[in-house]
Amino acid sequence: MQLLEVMDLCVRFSMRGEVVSAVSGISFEVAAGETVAIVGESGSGKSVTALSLTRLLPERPACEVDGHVYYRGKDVLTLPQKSLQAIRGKEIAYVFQEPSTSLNPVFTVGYQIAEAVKLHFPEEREVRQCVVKALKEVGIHEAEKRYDAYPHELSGGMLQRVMIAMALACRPKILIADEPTTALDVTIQKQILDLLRRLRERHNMAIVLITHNFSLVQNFADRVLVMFRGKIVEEGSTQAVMEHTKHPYTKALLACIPRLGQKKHRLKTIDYESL
Amino acid sequence: MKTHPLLKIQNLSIHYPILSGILRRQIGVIKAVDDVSFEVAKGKTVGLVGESGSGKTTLARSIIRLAPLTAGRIFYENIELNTLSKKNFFPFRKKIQMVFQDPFNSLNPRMTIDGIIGEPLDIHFSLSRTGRAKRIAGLLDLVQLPKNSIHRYPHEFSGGQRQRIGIARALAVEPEILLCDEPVSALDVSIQAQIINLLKDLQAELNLTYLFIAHDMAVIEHVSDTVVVLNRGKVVEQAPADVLYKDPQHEYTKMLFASIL
Ligand SMILES: Nc1ncnc2c1ncn2[C@@H]1O[C@H](COP(=O)(O)OP(=O)(O)OP(=O)(O)O)[C@@H](O)[C@H]1O
Ligand SMILES: Nc1ncnc2c1ncn2[C@@H]1O[C@H](COP(=O)(O)OP(=O)(O)OP(=O)(O)O)[C@@H](O)[C@H]1O
Ligand SMILES: [Mg+2]
Ligand SMILES: [Mg+2]
Repeated sequence: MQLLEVMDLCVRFSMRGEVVSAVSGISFEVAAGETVAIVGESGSGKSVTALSLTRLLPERPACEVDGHVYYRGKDVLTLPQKSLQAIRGKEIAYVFQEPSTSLNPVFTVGYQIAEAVKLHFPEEREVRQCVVKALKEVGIHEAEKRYDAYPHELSGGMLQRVMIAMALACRPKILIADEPTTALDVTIQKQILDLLRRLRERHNMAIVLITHNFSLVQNFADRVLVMFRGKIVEEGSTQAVMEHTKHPYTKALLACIPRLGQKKHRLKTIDYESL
Repeated sequence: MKTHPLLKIQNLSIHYPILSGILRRQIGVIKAVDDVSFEVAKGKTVGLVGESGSGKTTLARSIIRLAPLTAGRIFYENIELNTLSKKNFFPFRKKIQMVFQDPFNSLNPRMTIDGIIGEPLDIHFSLSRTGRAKRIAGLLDLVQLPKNSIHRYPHEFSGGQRQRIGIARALAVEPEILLCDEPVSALDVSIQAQIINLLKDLQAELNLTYLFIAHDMAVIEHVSDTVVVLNRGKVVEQAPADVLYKDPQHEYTKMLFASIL
Protein backbone atom coordinates (compact mmCIF):
# COMPACT_ATOMS: atom_id res chain seq x y z
CA MET A 1 0.00 0.00 0.00
CA GLN A 2 1.31 3.38 -1.04
CA LEU A 3 1.58 6.16 1.57
CA LEU A 4 -0.35 8.57 -0.63
CA GLU A 5 -2.25 7.77 -3.78
CA VAL A 6 -4.13 10.40 -5.74
CA MET A 7 -6.55 9.13 -8.37
CA ASP A 8 -8.38 11.17 -11.00
CA LEU A 9 -8.46 14.29 -8.87
CA CYS A 10 -10.65 17.05 -10.31
CA VAL A 11 -11.25 20.45 -8.76
CA ARG A 12 -13.70 23.02 -10.07
CA PHE A 13 -14.52 26.45 -8.67
CA SER A 14 -17.85 28.18 -9.19
CA MET A 15 -17.68 31.94 -9.08
CA ARG A 16 -20.86 33.92 -9.61
CA GLY A 17 -22.18 31.50 -12.19
CA GLU A 18 -18.84 30.96 -13.88
CA VAL A 19 -17.19 27.56 -13.48
CA VAL A 20 -13.41 27.31 -13.59
CA SER A 21 -11.68 23.97 -13.75
CA ALA A 22 -8.45 24.20 -11.74
CA VAL A 23 -7.41 20.54 -11.71
CA SER A 24 -8.61 18.16 -14.42
CA GLY A 25 -8.09 14.52 -13.57
CA ILE A 26 -4.61 14.05 -12.18
CA SER A 27 -3.18 10.90 -10.60
CA PHE A 28 0.08 10.33 -8.76
CA GLU A 29 1.63 8.45 -5.86
CA VAL A 30 4.03 9.32 -3.09
CA ALA A 31 5.96 6.64 -1.21
CA ALA A 32 7.30 6.95 2.34
CA GLY A 33 10.65 8.73 2.39
CA GLU A 34 10.24 9.91 -1.17
CA THR A 35 10.44 13.50 -2.38
CA VAL A 36 8.13 14.37 -5.24
CA ALA A 37 8.40 17.81 -6.83
CA ILE A 38 5.47 19.48 -8.57
CA VAL A 39 6.52 22.14 -11.04
CA GLY A 40 4.63 24.02 -13.73
CA GLU A 41 2.88 27.09 -14.92
CA SER A 42 1.69 29.73 -12.51
CA GLY A 43 -2.04 29.02 -12.10
CA SER A 44 -1.79 25.42 -13.32
CA GLY A 45 -3.32 23.95 -10.15
CA LYS A 46 -0.33 23.06 -7.96
CA SER A 47 -1.51 24.75 -4.77
CA VAL A 48 -5.09 23.64 -5.33
CA THR A 49 -3.86 20.04 -5.64
CA ALA A 50 -1.90 20.42 -2.41
CA LEU A 51 -4.86 21.85 -0.52
CA SER A 52 -7.23 19.16 -1.74
CA LEU A 53 -5.05 16.43 -0.20
CA THR A 54 -6.49 17.15 3.25
CA ARG A 55 -9.67 18.90 2.12
CA LEU A 56 -8.55 22.43 2.84
CA LEU A 57 -10.41 23.94 -0.12
CA PRO A 58 -13.68 25.89 0.25
CA GLU A 59 -16.84 23.81 0.72
CA ARG A 60 -19.42 23.04 -1.92
CA PRO A 61 -20.93 24.69 -3.90
CA ALA A 62 -18.03 27.15 -4.20
CA CYS A 63 -15.69 24.26 -4.91
CA GLU A 64 -16.27 20.72 -6.20
CA VAL A 65 -13.64 18.03 -5.65
CA ASP A 66 -13.92 14.65 -7.37
CA GLY A 67 -11.68 11.61 -7.42
CA HIS A 68 -9.81 9.89 -4.62
CA VAL A 69 -6.97 10.77 -2.28
CA TYR A 70 -5.87 7.63 -0.45
CA TYR A 71 -3.70 8.17 2.60
CA ARG A 72 -2.56 4.74 3.85
CA GLY A 73 -5.46 3.21 1.98
CA LYS A 74 -8.17 5.47 3.39
CA ASP A 75 -9.89 7.95 1.11
CA VAL A 76 -9.35 11.37 2.67
CA LEU A 77 -12.06 12.89 0.50
CA THR A 78 -14.80 10.84 2.18
CA LEU A 79 -13.31 10.54 5.67
CA PRO A 80 -15.43 11.76 8.62
CA GLN A 81 -14.34 15.13 10.03
CA LYS A 82 -12.86 13.56 13.16
CA SER A 83 -10.51 11.15 11.42
CA LEU A 84 -9.58 13.94 9.04
CA GLN A 85 -8.53 16.16 11.96
CA ALA A 86 -6.26 13.40 13.18
CA ILE A 87 -4.44 13.35 9.85
CA ARG A 88 -4.18 17.10 9.27
CA GLY A 89 -1.11 18.56 10.87
CA LYS A 90 -0.02 15.40 12.60
CA GLU A 91 0.37 13.04 9.66
CA ILE A 92 0.28 15.49 6.79
CA ALA A 93 1.72 18.93 7.52
CA TYR A 94 1.87 22.00 5.32
CA VAL A 95 4.14 24.86 4.56
CA PHE A 96 1.75 27.16 2.73
CA GLN A 97 2.71 29.34 -0.20
CA GLU A 98 1.74 32.52 1.63
CA PRO A 99 2.77 32.09 5.29
CA SER A 100 0.93 35.19 6.46
CA THR A 101 -2.38 33.55 5.54
CA SER A 102 -1.86 30.59 7.83
CA LEU A 103 -0.20 32.10 10.89
CA ASN A 104 -2.52 33.74 13.39
CA PRO A 105 -1.71 37.46 13.62
CA VAL A 106 -2.79 37.78 17.26
CA PHE A 107 -0.49 35.11 18.71
CA THR A 108 3.28 35.19 18.99
CA VAL A 109 5.17 32.83 16.71
CA GLY A 110 6.68 31.02 19.71
CA TYR A 111 3.22 30.39 21.12
CA GLN A 112 2.00 29.03 17.80
CA ILE A 113 4.88 26.59 17.44
CA ALA A 114 4.47 25.60 21.10
CA GLU A 115 0.82 24.74 20.46
CA ALA A 116 1.86 22.45 17.64
CA VAL A 117 4.45 20.79 19.87
CA LYS A 118 1.97 20.31 22.75
CA LEU A 119 -0.70 18.92 20.47
CA HIS A 120 1.57 16.22 19.17
CA PHE A 121 3.83 15.59 22.16
CA PRO A 122 1.52 16.07 25.18
CA GLU A 123 4.08 14.50 27.52
CA GLU A 124 6.79 17.01 26.54
CA ARG A 125 7.91 19.06 29.60
CA GLU A 126 10.37 21.43 28.04
CA VAL A 127 8.10 22.89 25.38
CA ARG A 128 9.78 26.30 25.32
CA GLN A 129 13.22 24.76 24.77
CA CYS A 130 11.80 22.60 21.99
CA VAL A 131 10.43 25.67 20.26
CA VAL A 132 13.66 27.63 20.62
CA LYS A 133 15.58 24.68 19.23
CA ALA A 134 13.16 24.46 16.30
CA LEU A 135 13.61 28.18 15.59
CA LYS A 136 17.38 27.80 15.72
CA GLU A 137 17.25 24.86 13.35
CA VAL A 138 15.61 27.04 10.71
CA GLY A 139 18.26 29.72 11.14
CA ILE A 140 16.44 32.38 13.18
CA HIS A 141 19.10 34.50 14.90
CA GLU A 142 18.65 35.16 18.63
CA ALA A 143 15.83 32.62 18.70
CA GLU A 144 15.13 33.05 22.45
CA LYS A 145 14.53 36.75 21.94
CA ARG A 146 12.32 36.32 18.88
CA TYR A 147 10.05 33.77 20.62
CA ASP A 148 7.57 36.49 21.55
CA ALA A 149 7.51 38.21 18.16
CA TYR A 150 4.18 38.55 16.38
CA PRO A 151 4.00 37.46 12.74
CA HIS A 152 3.96 41.04 11.42
CA GLU A 153 7.25 41.71 13.20
CA LEU A 154 9.11 39.11 11.15
CA SER A 155 10.43 39.26 7.61
CA GLY A 156 8.89 37.26 4.75
CA GLY A 157 11.61 34.64 4.88
CA MET A 158 11.50 34.43 8.67
CA LEU A 159 7.76 33.71 8.50
CA GLN A 160 8.42 31.04 5.92
CA ARG A 161 10.91 29.45 8.31
CA VAL A 162 8.50 29.69 11.25
CA MET A 163 5.99 27.78 9.12
CA ILE A 164 8.61 25.16 8.36
CA ALA A 165 9.51 24.86 12.05
CA MET A 166 5.82 24.51 12.93
CA ALA A 167 5.17 21.87 10.31
CA LEU A 168 8.22 19.86 11.32
CA ALA A 169 7.42 20.10 15.03
CA CYS A 170 4.66 17.55 14.41
CA ARG A 171 7.05 15.02 12.85
CA PRO A 172 4.65 14.50 9.93
CA LYS A 173 4.71 11.46 7.65
CA ILE A 174 4.21 13.76 4.69
CA LEU A 175 5.39 17.35 4.44
CA ILE A 176 3.65 19.36 1.77
CA ALA A 177 5.82 22.36 1.09
CA ASP A 178 4.38 24.92 -1.32
CA GLU A 179 7.17 27.23 -2.50
CA PRO A 180 8.90 26.97 0.90
CA THR A 181 12.07 28.84 -0.02
CA THR A 182 10.92 31.73 -2.23
CA ALA A 183 11.80 34.29 0.45
CA LEU A 184 15.05 32.67 1.52
CA ASP A 185 18.52 33.66 0.44
CA VAL A 186 20.62 30.83 -0.92
CA THR A 187 22.66 30.37 2.29
CA ILE A 188 19.59 29.86 4.45
CA GLN A 189 17.93 27.79 1.74
CA LYS A 190 20.87 25.44 1.98
CA GLN A 191 20.49 25.18 5.75
CA ILE A 192 16.77 24.39 5.41
CA LEU A 193 17.42 21.74 2.76
CA ASP A 194 19.98 20.06 5.01
CA LEU A 195 17.44 20.01 7.82
CA LEU A 196 14.81 18.47 5.56
CA ARG A 197 17.28 15.88 4.31
CA ARG A 198 18.07 14.83 7.88
CA LEU A 199 14.39 14.43 8.74
CA ARG A 200 13.73 12.61 5.52
CA GLU A 201 16.40 10.08 6.42
CA ARG A 202 15.77 9.84 10.15
CA HIS A 203 11.96 9.65 10.07
CA ASN A 204 11.38 8.43 6.54
CA MET A 205 9.32 11.56 5.94
CA ALA A 206 7.88 11.99 2.46
CA ILE A 207 7.98 15.45 0.90
CA VAL A 208 5.75 16.96 -1.76
CA LEU A 209 7.67 20.00 -2.93
CA ILE A 210 5.94 22.59 -5.06
CA THR A 211 8.43 24.96 -6.61
CA HIS A 212 9.42 27.09 -9.56
CA ASN A 213 13.07 26.56 -8.78
CA PHE A 214 14.64 23.91 -11.00
CA SER A 215 17.97 23.81 -9.20
CA LEU A 216 16.02 22.95 -6.08
CA VAL A 217 14.24 20.17 -7.95
CA GLN A 218 17.47 18.84 -9.33
CA ASN A 219 19.19 18.83 -5.96
CA PHE A 220 16.38 17.61 -3.82
CA ALA A 221 13.62 15.65 -5.55
CA ASP A 222 13.48 11.99 -6.50
CA ARG A 223 10.64 12.43 -8.94
CA VAL A 224 9.00 15.33 -10.77
CA LEU A 225 5.46 16.00 -11.93
CA VAL A 226 5.02 18.80 -14.47
CA MET A 227 1.64 20.53 -14.42
CA PHE A 228 0.19 22.60 -17.22
CA ARG A 229 -3.38 23.91 -17.27
CA GLY A 230 -4.72 21.56 -14.62
CA LYS A 231 -3.10 18.40 -15.98
CA ILE A 232 0.08 16.47 -15.36
CA VAL A 233 1.79 16.62 -18.75
CA GLU A 234 5.01 14.87 -17.81
CA GLU A 235 6.37 12.83 -14.95
CA GLY A 236 9.34 10.70 -14.13
CA SER A 237 12.54 10.54 -12.16
CA THR A 238 14.18 13.95 -11.77
CA GLN A 239 17.03 12.94 -14.00
CA ALA A 240 14.76 11.60 -16.74
CA VAL A 241 12.58 14.69 -16.80
CA MET A 242 15.48 17.15 -16.72
CA GLU A 243 17.71 15.35 -19.17
CA HIS A 244 15.37 13.53 -21.50
CA THR A 245 12.50 15.96 -21.50
CA LYS A 246 9.54 14.74 -23.52
CA HIS A 247 6.67 17.22 -23.37
CA PRO A 248 6.97 20.45 -25.37
CA TYR A 249 5.80 22.53 -22.41
CA THR A 250 8.52 21.15 -20.14
CA LYS A 251 11.13 21.70 -22.84
CA ALA A 252 10.00 25.27 -23.38
CA LEU A 253 9.90 25.90 -19.64
CA LEU A 254 13.41 24.63 -19.03
CA ALA A 255 14.67 26.96 -21.76
CA CYS A 256 13.37 29.98 -19.80
CA ILE A 257 15.55 29.48 -16.71
CA PRO A 258 17.74 32.54 -16.19
CA ARG A 259 21.37 31.55 -15.77
CA LEU A 260 24.32 33.28 -14.18
CA GLY A 261 26.58 35.03 -16.65
CA GLN A 262 23.97 35.57 -19.39
CA LYS A 263 23.22 39.17 -18.60
CA LYS A 264 23.31 40.51 -22.14
CA HIS A 265 20.51 38.39 -23.54
CA ARG A 266 16.85 39.05 -23.41
CA LEU A 267 15.25 36.25 -21.40
CA LYS A 268 13.53 33.52 -23.35
CA THR A 269 9.77 33.10 -22.91
CA ILE A 270 7.22 30.54 -24.05
CA ASP A 271 5.10 31.08 -27.10
CA TYR A 272 1.93 29.49 -25.73
CA GLU A 273 0.23 29.45 -29.14
CA SER A 274 2.74 26.87 -30.27
CA LEU A 275 1.85 24.38 -27.51
CA MET B 1 28.96 64.10 -16.65
CA LYS B 2 27.75 62.56 -13.45
CA THR B 3 24.11 61.55 -13.57
CA HIS B 4 21.94 62.77 -10.73
CA PRO B 5 20.64 60.14 -8.38
CA LEU B 6 16.87 59.90 -8.46
CA LEU B 7 16.81 58.29 -5.05
CA LYS B 8 19.41 58.78 -2.36
CA ILE B 9 19.44 56.88 0.91
CA GLN B 10 21.70 58.54 3.48
CA ASN B 11 22.80 56.94 6.75
CA LEU B 12 19.43 55.31 7.17
CA SER B 13 18.70 53.40 10.37
CA ILE B 14 15.49 51.69 11.42
CA HIS B 15 15.41 50.06 14.84
CA TYR B 16 12.65 48.06 16.47
CA PRO B 17 12.40 47.14 20.14
CA ILE B 18 12.36 43.42 20.97
CA LEU B 19 9.49 42.95 23.40
CA SER B 20 8.93 39.93 25.55
CA GLY B 21 6.34 38.37 27.83
CA ILE B 22 2.79 39.43 28.63
CA LEU B 23 3.96 42.83 29.81
CA ARG B 24 5.85 43.35 26.54
CA ARG B 25 9.02 44.30 28.38
CA GLN B 26 11.82 45.49 26.10
CA ILE B 27 14.66 42.98 26.12
CA GLY B 28 16.67 44.22 23.17
CA VAL B 29 16.80 46.14 19.92
CA ILE B 30 16.65 44.90 16.33
CA LYS B 31 18.70 47.04 14.04
CA ALA B 32 16.64 46.14 10.98
CA VAL B 33 18.44 48.80 8.94
CA ASP B 34 21.73 50.05 10.32
CA ASP B 35 23.40 53.11 8.81
CA VAL B 36 22.69 52.29 5.18
CA SER B 37 23.65 54.63 2.33
CA PHE B 38 23.32 54.18 -1.43
CA GLU B 39 21.98 55.91 -4.50
CA VAL B 40 19.78 54.89 -7.40
CA ALA B 41 20.46 56.75 -10.65
CA LYS B 42 17.57 57.71 -12.90
CA GLY B 43 16.73 55.04 -15.44
CA LYS B 44 18.89 52.45 -13.71
CA THR B 45 18.30 49.41 -11.54
CA VAL B 46 19.81 48.75 -8.16
CA GLY B 47 19.56 45.13 -7.04
CA LEU B 48 19.26 44.63 -3.32
CA VAL B 49 20.26 41.22 -2.01
CA GLY B 50 21.03 39.81 1.40
CA GLU B 51 20.20 37.33 4.06
CA SER B 52 16.58 36.71 4.95
CA GLY B 53 15.80 39.20 7.71
CA SER B 54 18.59 41.58 6.74
CA GLY B 55 16.35 44.62 6.34
CA LYS B 56 15.55 44.74 2.61
CA THR B 57 11.78 45.00 2.95
CA THR B 58 11.99 47.41 5.87
CA LEU B 59 14.26 49.69 3.86
CA ALA B 60 11.99 49.72 0.81
CA ARG B 61 8.88 50.29 2.94
CA SER B 62 10.48 53.22 4.72
CA ILE B 63 10.80 55.07 1.41
CA ILE B 64 7.01 55.18 1.09
CA ARG B 65 6.55 55.85 4.79
CA LEU B 66 5.43 52.38 5.81
CA ALA B 67 8.29 52.01 8.29
CA PRO B 68 9.39 54.79 10.67
CA LEU B 69 12.99 56.04 10.41
CA THR B 70 15.16 55.96 13.49
CA ALA B 71 17.82 58.08 11.83
CA GLY B 72 18.98 59.14 8.38
CA ARG B 73 17.55 60.87 5.34
CA ILE B 74 15.87 59.89 2.09
CA PHE B 75 16.16 62.17 -0.93
CA TYR B 76 14.17 62.10 -4.15
CA GLU B 77 15.67 64.40 -6.77
CA ASN B 78 17.21 66.46 -3.96
CA ILE B 79 13.93 66.78 -2.08
CA GLU B 80 14.15 65.35 1.39
CA LEU B 81 11.19 62.99 1.59
CA ASN B 82 11.17 62.16 5.26
CA THR B 83 10.60 65.76 6.40
CA LEU B 84 7.72 66.48 4.01
CA SER B 85 4.23 67.05 5.34
CA LYS B 86 1.58 64.51 4.42
CA LYS B 87 0.21 66.91 1.84
CA ASN B 88 3.56 67.62 0.23
CA PHE B 89 4.33 63.90 0.14
CA PHE B 90 1.17 63.17 -1.85
CA PRO B 91 2.69 63.57 -5.35
CA PHE B 92 5.32 61.02 -4.40
CA ARG B 93 2.60 58.47 -3.71
CA LYS B 94 2.17 58.38 -7.47
CA LYS B 95 5.82 58.70 -8.50
CA ILE B 96 7.02 55.95 -6.17
CA GLN B 97 5.21 52.62 -6.36
CA MET B 98 5.92 49.41 -4.55
CA VAL B 99 5.36 45.78 -5.50
CA PHE B 100 4.99 44.05 -2.15
CA GLN B 101 6.68 40.82 -1.12
CA ASP B 102 3.48 39.36 0.30
CA PRO B 103 0.83 39.79 -2.38
CA PHE B 104 -1.97 38.39 -0.27
CA ASN B 105 -1.52 40.86 2.56
CA SER B 106 -1.19 43.82 0.27
CA LEU B 107 -4.42 43.28 -1.70
CA ASN B 108 -7.73 44.29 -0.16
CA PRO B 109 -9.66 40.99 0.13
CA ARG B 110 -13.02 42.71 -0.25
CA MET B 111 -12.19 44.42 -3.53
CA THR B 112 -12.36 42.91 -6.99
CA ILE B 113 -9.39 43.28 -9.27
CA ASP B 114 -11.21 46.09 -11.03
CA GLY B 115 -11.24 48.02 -7.75
CA ILE B 116 -7.72 47.07 -6.75
CA ILE B 117 -6.12 48.26 -9.98
CA GLY B 118 -8.68 51.02 -10.53
CA GLU B 119 -8.32 52.64 -7.10
CA PRO B 120 -4.93 54.27 -7.65
CA LEU B 121 -6.13 55.33 -11.12
CA ASP B 122 -9.14 57.06 -9.57
CA ILE B 123 -6.94 58.83 -7.04
CA HIS B 124 -4.30 60.12 -9.40
CA PHE B 125 -6.02 60.46 -12.80
CA SER B 126 -9.40 61.53 -14.05
CA LEU B 127 -10.23 58.97 -16.70
CA SER B 128 -13.47 58.41 -18.55
CA ARG B 129 -15.26 55.18 -17.78
CA THR B 130 -14.12 53.56 -21.01
CA GLY B 131 -10.64 55.01 -20.66
CA ARG B 132 -10.36 53.48 -17.21
CA ALA B 133 -11.65 50.08 -18.37
CA LYS B 134 -9.29 50.09 -21.32
CA ARG B 135 -6.35 50.91 -19.12
CA ILE B 136 -7.13 48.14 -16.64
CA ALA B 137 -7.58 45.63 -19.45
CA GLY B 138 -4.25 46.72 -20.92
CA LEU B 139 -2.50 46.26 -17.58
CA LEU B 140 -3.97 42.78 -17.08
CA ASP B 141 -2.77 41.88 -20.52
CA LEU B 142 0.75 43.14 -19.75
CA VAL B 143 1.01 40.80 -16.76
CA GLN B 144 -0.64 37.87 -18.59
CA LEU B 145 -3.86 37.68 -16.61
CA PRO B 146 -7.09 36.83 -18.43
CA LYS B 147 -9.54 39.65 -19.15
CA ASN B 148 -12.31 38.10 -17.06
CA SER B 149 -10.13 38.51 -13.98
CA ILE B 150 -11.55 41.96 -13.26
CA HIS B 151 -14.61 40.70 -11.41
CA ARG B 152 -12.71 38.24 -9.26
CA TYR B 153 -11.42 38.66 -5.71
CA PRO B 154 -7.79 38.19 -4.61
CA HIS B 155 -8.41 34.83 -2.90
CA GLU B 156 -9.70 33.42 -6.18
CA PHE B 157 -6.25 33.56 -7.76
CA SER B 158 -3.07 31.53 -7.47
CA GLY B 159 -0.04 32.91 -5.63
CA GLY B 160 1.70 33.90 -8.82
CA GLN B 161 -1.45 35.46 -10.26
CA ARG B 162 -1.78 37.59 -7.11
CA GLN B 163 1.81 38.69 -7.46
CA ARG B 164 1.04 39.84 -10.99
CA ILE B 165 -2.00 41.79 -9.77
CA GLY B 166 0.39 43.66 -7.47
CA ILE B 167 2.67 44.45 -10.40
CA ALA B 168 -0.25 45.67 -12.53
CA ARG B 169 -1.43 47.91 -9.72
CA ALA B 170 2.02 49.41 -9.22
CA LEU B 171 2.38 50.10 -12.94
CA ALA B 172 -1.14 51.56 -13.23
CA VAL B 173 -0.28 55.12 -12.23
CA GLU B 174 2.83 55.45 -14.41
CA PRO B 175 5.37 55.71 -11.61
CA GLU B 176 8.91 57.04 -12.02
CA ILE B 177 10.43 54.53 -9.69
CA LEU B 178 9.29 51.05 -8.76
CA LEU B 179 10.32 49.43 -5.48
CA CYS B 180 10.06 45.74 -6.33
CA ASP B 181 10.20 43.44 -3.31
CA GLU B 182 10.62 39.88 -4.63
CA PRO B 183 8.29 40.69 -7.55
CA VAL B 184 8.82 37.45 -9.45
CA SER B 185 9.43 34.92 -6.67
CA ALA B 186 6.06 33.17 -7.14
CA LEU B 187 6.20 32.97 -10.93
CA ASP B 188 7.21 30.08 -13.11
CA VAL B 189 10.38 30.78 -15.07
CA SER B 190 8.49 31.55 -18.27
CA ILE B 191 6.18 34.15 -16.75
CA GLN B 192 9.07 35.41 -14.67
CA ALA B 193 11.00 35.98 -17.88
CA GLN B 194 8.04 37.79 -19.46
CA ILE B 195 7.70 40.10 -16.46
CA ILE B 196 11.42 40.82 -16.36
CA ASN B 197 11.46 41.54 -20.08
CA LEU B 198 8.43 43.77 -19.60
CA LEU B 199 10.14 45.72 -16.82
CA LYS B 200 13.24 46.14 -18.97
CA ASP B 201 11.17 47.29 -21.96
CA LEU B 202 9.39 49.84 -19.80
CA GLN B 203 12.72 51.02 -18.49
CA ALA B 204 14.07 51.49 -22.01
CA GLU B 205 10.90 53.25 -23.17
CA LEU B 206 10.05 55.42 -20.19
CA ASN B 207 13.37 55.67 -18.38
CA LEU B 208 11.89 53.96 -15.33
CA THR B 209 14.04 53.41 -12.27
CA TYR B 210 13.99 50.25 -10.16
CA LEU B 211 15.02 49.17 -6.72
CA PHE B 212 14.85 45.41 -7.15
CA ILE B 213 14.92 43.02 -4.20
CA ALA B 214 15.37 39.32 -4.99
CA HIS B 215 17.03 36.19 -3.72
CA ASP B 216 17.66 34.67 -7.12
CA MET B 217 21.22 35.69 -7.98
CA ALA B 218 20.72 35.03 -11.70
CA VAL B 219 17.67 37.30 -11.78
CA ILE B 220 19.58 40.01 -9.89
CA GLU B 221 22.47 39.78 -12.31
CA HIS B 222 20.08 40.03 -15.22
CA VAL B 223 18.28 43.18 -14.09
CA SER B 224 20.82 45.16 -12.07
CA ASP B 225 23.25 47.89 -12.99
CA THR B 226 24.46 48.10 -9.42
CA VAL B 227 24.12 45.56 -6.62
CA VAL B 228 23.91 46.38 -2.92
CA VAL B 229 24.51 43.50 -0.51
CA LEU B 230 22.94 43.75 2.93
CA ASN B 231 23.75 41.62 5.94
CA ARG B 232 22.14 42.10 9.35
CA GLY B 233 20.99 45.59 8.44
CA LYS B 234 24.34 46.82 7.13
CA VAL B 235 25.63 47.28 3.59
CA VAL B 236 28.57 44.90 3.36
CA GLU B 237 29.32 45.53 -0.30
CA GLN B 238 28.08 47.62 -3.20
CA ALA B 239 29.44 47.57 -6.70
CA PRO B 240 28.49 47.59 -10.39
CA ALA B 241 26.82 44.26 -11.12
CA ASP B 242 29.50 42.94 -13.48
CA VAL B 243 32.25 43.78 -10.98
CA LEU B 244 30.45 42.19 -8.06
CA TYR B 245 29.66 39.02 -9.96
CA LYS B 246 33.19 38.68 -11.26
CA ASP B 247 35.03 39.52 -8.11
CA PRO B 248 32.99 39.57 -4.89
CA GLN B 249 34.97 41.12 -2.03
CA HIS B 250 33.09 40.57 1.19
CA GLU B 251 32.94 37.20 2.93
CA TYR B 252 29.15 37.23 2.98
CA THR B 253 28.91 37.92 -0.75
CA LYS B 254 31.36 35.11 -1.44
CA MET B 255 29.29 32.80 0.72
CA LEU B 256 26.16 33.80 -1.22
CA PHE B 257 27.76 32.75 -4.47
CA ALA B 258 29.11 29.57 -2.93
CA SER B 259 25.62 28.56 -1.74
CA ILE B 260 23.92 28.79 -5.11
CA LEU B 261 22.59 25.33 -5.91
N1 LIG C 1 -10.54 29.82 -4.19
C1 LIG C 1 -10.51 29.89 -5.53
N2 LIG C 1 -11.59 30.28 -6.21
C2 LIG C 1 -11.59 30.33 -7.55
N3 LIG C 1 -10.54 30.01 -8.32
C3 LIG C 1 -9.42 29.62 -7.71
C4 LIG C 1 -9.34 29.53 -6.28
N4 LIG C 1 -8.12 29.09 -5.95
C5 LIG C 1 -7.45 28.93 -7.11
N5 LIG C 1 -8.22 29.24 -8.16
C6 LIG C 1 -7.85 29.13 -9.59
O1 LIG C 1 -7.40 27.82 -9.82
C7 LIG C 1 -6.29 27.79 -10.68
C8 LIG C 1 -5.15 27.02 -10.04
O2 LIG C 1 -4.67 27.73 -8.91
P1 LIG C 1 -3.43 27.26 -8.05
O3 LIG C 1 -3.37 28.17 -6.87
O4 LIG C 1 -3.49 25.82 -7.80
O5 LIG C 1 -2.22 27.57 -9.05
P2 LIG C 1 -0.66 27.26 -8.83
O6 LIG C 1 -0.28 26.21 -9.80
O7 LIG C 1 -0.39 27.02 -7.40
O8 LIG C 1 -0.02 28.65 -9.32
P3 LIG C 1 1.17 29.55 -8.68
O9 LIG C 1 2.42 28.92 -9.16
O10 LIG C 1 0.92 30.89 -9.32
O11 LIG C 1 1.00 29.56 -7.20
C9 LIG C 1 -5.94 29.25 -10.99
O12 LIG C 1 -6.42 29.57 -12.26
C10 LIG C 1 -6.69 30.04 -9.94
O13 LIG C 1 -7.12 31.28 -10.45
N1 LIG D 1 7.22 45.96 12.50
C1 LIG D 1 8.31 45.34 12.98
N2 LIG D 1 8.49 45.19 14.31
C2 LIG D 1 9.59 44.57 14.79
N3 LIG D 1 10.57 44.05 14.03
C3 LIG D 1 10.45 44.18 12.71
C4 LIG D 1 9.32 44.81 12.11
N4 LIG D 1 9.47 44.77 10.76
C5 LIG D 1 10.64 44.12 10.53
N5 LIG D 1 11.23 43.76 11.70
C6 LIG D 1 12.51 43.04 11.85
O1 LIG D 1 13.46 43.69 11.06
C7 LIG D 1 14.36 42.75 10.47
C8 LIG D 1 14.42 42.95 8.98
O2 LIG D 1 13.19 42.55 8.39
P1 LIG D 1 12.90 42.71 6.82
O3 LIG D 1 11.50 42.31 6.60
O4 LIG D 1 13.29 44.05 6.39
O5 LIG D 1 13.92 41.63 6.22
P2 LIG D 1 14.15 41.18 4.70
O6 LIG D 1 15.57 41.49 4.37
O7 LIG D 1 13.11 41.76 3.83
O8 LIG D 1 14.02 39.61 4.82
P3 LIG D 1 13.32 38.52 3.82
O9 LIG D 1 14.33 38.29 2.75
O10 LIG D 1 13.17 37.34 4.71
O11 LIG D 1 12.04 39.08 3.35
C9 LIG D 1 13.87 41.38 10.91
O12 LIG D 1 14.62 40.93 12.01
C10 LIG D 1 12.44 41.63 11.33
O13 LIG D 1 12.05 40.72 12.33
MG1 LIG E 1 0.51 28.13 -5.90
MG1 LIG F 1 11.54 40.92 2.78
